[in-house]
Amino acid sequence: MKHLPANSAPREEAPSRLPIRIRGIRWSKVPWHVLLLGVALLMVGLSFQRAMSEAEGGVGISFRGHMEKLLVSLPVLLCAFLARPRWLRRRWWWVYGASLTLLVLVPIIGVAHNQAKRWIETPVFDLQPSEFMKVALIIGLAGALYRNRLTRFKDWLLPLGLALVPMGLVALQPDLGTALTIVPVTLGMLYLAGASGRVLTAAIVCVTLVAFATVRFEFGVREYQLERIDTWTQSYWPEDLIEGRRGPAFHAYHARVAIGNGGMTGRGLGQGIANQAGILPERESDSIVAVIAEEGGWWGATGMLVLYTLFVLGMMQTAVGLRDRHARLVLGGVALYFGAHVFIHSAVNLGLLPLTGLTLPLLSTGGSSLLASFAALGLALGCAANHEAALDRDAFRSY
Amino acid sequence: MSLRRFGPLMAASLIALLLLVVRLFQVQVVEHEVWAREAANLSRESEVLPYLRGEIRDRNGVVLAQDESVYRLEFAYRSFRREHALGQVAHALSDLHGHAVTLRDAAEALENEAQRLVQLSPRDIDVFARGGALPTFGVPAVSSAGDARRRSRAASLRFYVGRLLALDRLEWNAVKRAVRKGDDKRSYFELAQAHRSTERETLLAFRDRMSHARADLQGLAGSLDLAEFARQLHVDDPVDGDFTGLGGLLELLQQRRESIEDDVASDLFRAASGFSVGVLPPEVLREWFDLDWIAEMLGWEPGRLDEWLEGPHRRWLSNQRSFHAPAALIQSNLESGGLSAGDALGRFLDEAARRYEPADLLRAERLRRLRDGSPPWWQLERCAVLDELPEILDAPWPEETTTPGMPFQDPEWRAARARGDVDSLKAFAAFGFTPEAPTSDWMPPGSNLEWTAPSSPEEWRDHITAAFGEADGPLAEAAARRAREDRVLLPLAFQEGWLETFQWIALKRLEEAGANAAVQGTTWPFEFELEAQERAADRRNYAVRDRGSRVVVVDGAPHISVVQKISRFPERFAGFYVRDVPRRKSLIMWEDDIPLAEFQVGGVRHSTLTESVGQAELLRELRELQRTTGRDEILREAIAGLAREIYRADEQRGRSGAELLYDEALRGRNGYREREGLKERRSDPKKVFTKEPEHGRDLELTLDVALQRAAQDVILHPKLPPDIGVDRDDAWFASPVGAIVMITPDGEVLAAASAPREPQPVLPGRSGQREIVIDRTMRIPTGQAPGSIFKPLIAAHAIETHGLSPAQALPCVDEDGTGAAYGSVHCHSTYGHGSVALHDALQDSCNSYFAQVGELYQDRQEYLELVHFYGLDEPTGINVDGRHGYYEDYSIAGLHGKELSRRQRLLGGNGLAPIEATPLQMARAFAGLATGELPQLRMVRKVGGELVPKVSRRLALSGNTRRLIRDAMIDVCEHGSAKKAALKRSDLGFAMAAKTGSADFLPMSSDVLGSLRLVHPDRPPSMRKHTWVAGWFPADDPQAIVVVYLHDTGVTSSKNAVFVAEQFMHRPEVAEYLAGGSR
Repeated sequence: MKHLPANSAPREEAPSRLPIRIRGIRWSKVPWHVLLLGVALLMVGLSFQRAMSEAEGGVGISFRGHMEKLLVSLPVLLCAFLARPRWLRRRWWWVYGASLTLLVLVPIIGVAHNQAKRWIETPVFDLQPSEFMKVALIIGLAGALYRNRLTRFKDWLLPLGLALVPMGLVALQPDLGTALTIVPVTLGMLYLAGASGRVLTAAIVCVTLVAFATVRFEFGVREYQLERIDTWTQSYWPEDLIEGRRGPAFHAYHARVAIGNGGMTGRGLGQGIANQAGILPERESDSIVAVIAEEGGWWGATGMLVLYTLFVLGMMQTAVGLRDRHARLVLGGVALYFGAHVFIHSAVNLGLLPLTGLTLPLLSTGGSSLLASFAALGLALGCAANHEAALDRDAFRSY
Repeated sequence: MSLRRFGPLMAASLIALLLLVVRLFQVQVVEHEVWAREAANLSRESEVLPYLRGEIRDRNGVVLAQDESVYRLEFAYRSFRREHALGQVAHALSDLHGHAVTLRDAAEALENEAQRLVQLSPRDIDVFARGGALPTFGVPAVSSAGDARRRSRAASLRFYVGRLLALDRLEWNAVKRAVRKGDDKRSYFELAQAHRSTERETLLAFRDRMSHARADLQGLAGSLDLAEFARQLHVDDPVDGDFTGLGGLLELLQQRRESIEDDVASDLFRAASGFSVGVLPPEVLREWFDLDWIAEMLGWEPGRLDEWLEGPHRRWLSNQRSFHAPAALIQSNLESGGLSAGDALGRFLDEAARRYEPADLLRAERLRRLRDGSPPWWQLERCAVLDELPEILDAPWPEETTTPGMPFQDPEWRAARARGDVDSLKAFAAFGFTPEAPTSDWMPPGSNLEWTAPSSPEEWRDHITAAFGEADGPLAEAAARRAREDRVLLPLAFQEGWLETFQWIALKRLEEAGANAAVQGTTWPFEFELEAQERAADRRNYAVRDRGSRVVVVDGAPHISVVQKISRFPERFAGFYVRDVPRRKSLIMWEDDIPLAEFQVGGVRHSTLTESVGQAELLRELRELQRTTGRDEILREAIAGLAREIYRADEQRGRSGAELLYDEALRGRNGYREREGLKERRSDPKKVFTKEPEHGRDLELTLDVALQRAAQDVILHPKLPPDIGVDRDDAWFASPVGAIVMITPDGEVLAAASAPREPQPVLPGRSGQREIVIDRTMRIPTGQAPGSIFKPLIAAHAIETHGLSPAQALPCVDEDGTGAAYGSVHCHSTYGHGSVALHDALQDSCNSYFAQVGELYQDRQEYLELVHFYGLDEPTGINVDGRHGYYEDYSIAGLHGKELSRRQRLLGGNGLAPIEATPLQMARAFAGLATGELPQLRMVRKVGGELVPKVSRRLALSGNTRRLIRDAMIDVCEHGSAKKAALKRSDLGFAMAAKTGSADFLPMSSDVLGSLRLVHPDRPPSMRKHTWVAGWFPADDPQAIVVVYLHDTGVTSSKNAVFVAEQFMHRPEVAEYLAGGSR
């Protein structure tokens, strides 16, 4: 019997303990179209942020500050891109735990703005742990669902627990908007992991009923949140909103004025009333879609939404082509993350959902939002491009 | 996991995209107009640029009246409480204690209280917010259920403490950051010092700053007219005297604070109920409505609620009567032609019924009204308050009420309207809808409501007159006056009847609900529904901000030191503002506060309600255009054009005199400016549309200020005649009534002065004209015959037209021992002049001669031709082209109607009744006599630099005739009835042609007789007279015509009027005029 030379046996590569690596990137597998779309969205955001800061109503809006946050976030994008999938698979609970720890610390060491305690102060900017929690949840769910087909009841416990705990903590801050975005990401990832569509539909109906009952019987909902819901239900039609413009519907009114004022073709960059009068609150973050709609018109706003949808669909389409289940889950989760944000952000400003503060990733300013968005984007790009061999059954399973 | 799993998610993404795009389309395209209009209103700022009203000058260019910017001191309470130390301390203490701390109380211990406040720490305030105690201020702890507003009071307290420290935004943010990081045990004062970017403020300096704040207010109080401030606030003087000093100022500021709170309370009530709190009387509100939530929301103590309730109903009723009813009368156009009484009444009812409609309508109803207009009164289904009480109040309402609805809901009324039956409506007005007096079965204990409605048209008339007489303003007085006219009585009867009915029905409904409540075991007063209270709570902050921001006028003409102080140091007088406002100013004054030539220059006024109502349509059109999105040149011009037509709220219009006569020329046109974007920030010329105002044109009057002053001086302060052995009426000289006019031969009025200038006490036995201030140069308030000054006029006319021969002597003899006379007309010369020809008759003013001249005129028609010849029965021409400006009397009533009797013809020859004339008419006539040209008089010489054309007509008087008359009139001054006065050539330096005249007025009274100094008391005068002097000078080259008129004197002209004429003729201003000193 012929023996292989001792030194010719297949040698398994020594596993790296670092969370990132540069070698192993399959540059041809990088979803460049997604990256380009992301960059395009970023450019759109930069244009509007600049216009806002230069507009006469732009007191307090700093384009320079936004660029600084952007520059701080770029390394995060890179690190996330270079993150090793295996490390993420195995150490997801580190990331999740660290984010959860920050979230738990918010009530203890956090600071409050506008009746909500959501931030931890740092020398550069105030960190909003709930933003990172969303990304950490994606990583956590991906890790938990990587080998979990959700075929049994107990298979659901861990993923649900992973979602509900931060959701509860965020809701207590209170930050209903963030809590709201966790729901579609969680449900989507569960579906992607193999959960029954019927079961999920039933869960959605139950959640909706619970939410309705919560509001109706004012259980565990704060006064101002109830007020927002009341304001929302009474502000769909223009005349009702105009009538209530001096009360709680102030923000909704000015957002709607800005959007409606845009018409088909828009007022021009920096020329909208939202920028000129400077009355629309949080227009650089929570209401940026109103600014885009006013200055870009219906064409501009639709174009942005189409761009964003293509961005989301691009990630999903990339995920479809991946063999690695974990990578698919991560990419899917990130796509859901961006998709949920753009829908909720736009729906709130259009009066389709009650007013809640939610940024539009890649377009809005906000340090934590940029960091989280870049991290998510980096993860998505990296998962597609970063190949690490896995010889588990999923590598061969077709679905 | 494959496309099978991602597919549905992709599909969901596309559906979500579609949903958003469709919604975007709905908002951005379908609803674009609505939102663009809202955006336009947010971003577009427009202002009307006021024009300057034209100047009014005299003939020499001296400015008599002009527009000027004056300063007005205003006060905004919100700025005061937020920015001034006293406001901050008072409100901080109010928040601490949970009840209002007055400004006076806060001022007494300002330094100490301020110091204590800033020495609170953030932790102290947090404890307070959570219901804890603050022992330093004696504030006890409360249970969480005991004071739900502690948190908001704590937030307010933090705000005021922060303001007291005078930190800028960055410094205050640094303090807040430090507190967030846990540095909350140190006092705010210490925190402020640690984070102040400028020099630290010691406690002593802080106390000094508080002290200066009070001292500043004290200084300001000393410089202000606090009585004026009290008037502006409609505050009665305090019991113990006027508002003076710092205490007075603080009291007034406190009143302002309370009135704002009252207004906020009214706003809250309206937000909760949907109707004004004033529609129901206070006793109903107190008994039936639980309003404690309002007191709690505003931090009021018990009793304050009752104080608030007293005001709104009174104001609401007054508003209905002084504004809405007159406005409805105007809009219903009752006096216009072409409208039937039923239609006009219907319009009035439309307006009256509108007052009872709900303010907050259903959306569908609002949209329908936008489309179709408001429905007429008889189609209105719902009545505010009555129909909404069940929803507003948490009360057990009866299923069906037994109380009838309002008249416009009554089927019989609607049927009457359908028939067009006005008489039936009148019957309703008088009797039909007047309800019975309410019963007291279900009245709450202690109620004392009583309504007894009038039961007859006469009672209605009295009721309306009384009701409108009590309302505020001249409009209400006019309405009360007009209520005596039936065509106005009916609409006002409806108004009052509906008011009464409404009150009664509201009470009945509440009584029925009260009966229900009693049956169900609940009680009244009824609470508002929770939703209603929450609506009010939403409104609270906005109402406080809005009401507090409204300015009130403190002083319309503050002292310049006040203006300088506040302009230079606005931060020390927070809440007080100085504003430029236009005001018409008279520059030449006569005796302190009376403008010179006030009647001739005239005055200005603001727009009347009629004018404002008449512009309502234009205003609506303007607002509609302003809301239009997009702008092109045509639209901008249309908007600017409308803005020019619509009167500004502060715009002044002519009220009388030249201001009124040439109001159009003086007014000019407003300008208009529209900016896109924020003011002060948008400077792009493309974004600013400006139409500059067109200023009014200037007027040059014919008046000479110097001559006017001289005339006013002489007629208002005539010197007593010299004691030269003639009868004297010293009482007249002490309290003169009369006029002096001076004109140029071509009709320019150089001076026109009247007395009295202010109401004087009536002298015993004399006419009441002393109490009346009018322009006597052109008015005939009582019988006003010219007397003997008419003689030259009739003589000249009779020569030319009736063949009077100047050389022919006519008899003046005593034929029957009763004195010289002709017919029934006695001559003043007891024994007669014998045979006298024209020259001597004029010189000596022979009544008999001129009675015979008068007899030459056969009938009324010939006399009419005579007076018309000299223009005595027509306007003098000062009201140009038939426009109105001067109120001028010119018709001679006595010459119209019955044929003249012989006596009247004889009297007419002597210038007595039926002849009447004003001083200006006589001056004009004498100008015609002097020159042969009868001029149209003018008060205005130039308008905007253009001369007003001179108009005259040739009189058919030959030169010979005029010379004859002139020579006789010269001798009047030299040798005749005016000889005792210094009007001779040797006195004046030139010959004056004049005639004296005394026209019998009324029989002598014993009081007047007793006041005269008579040379021959045994021959007392039997008649009181108007006395005149009229003539021109120089006699051979007339430069001016002068007429002097004295009203109701006890002696003849040769004993008083001639001396007044002498005083005027010897004024240096007259000499200067003759020397060419006036253009």
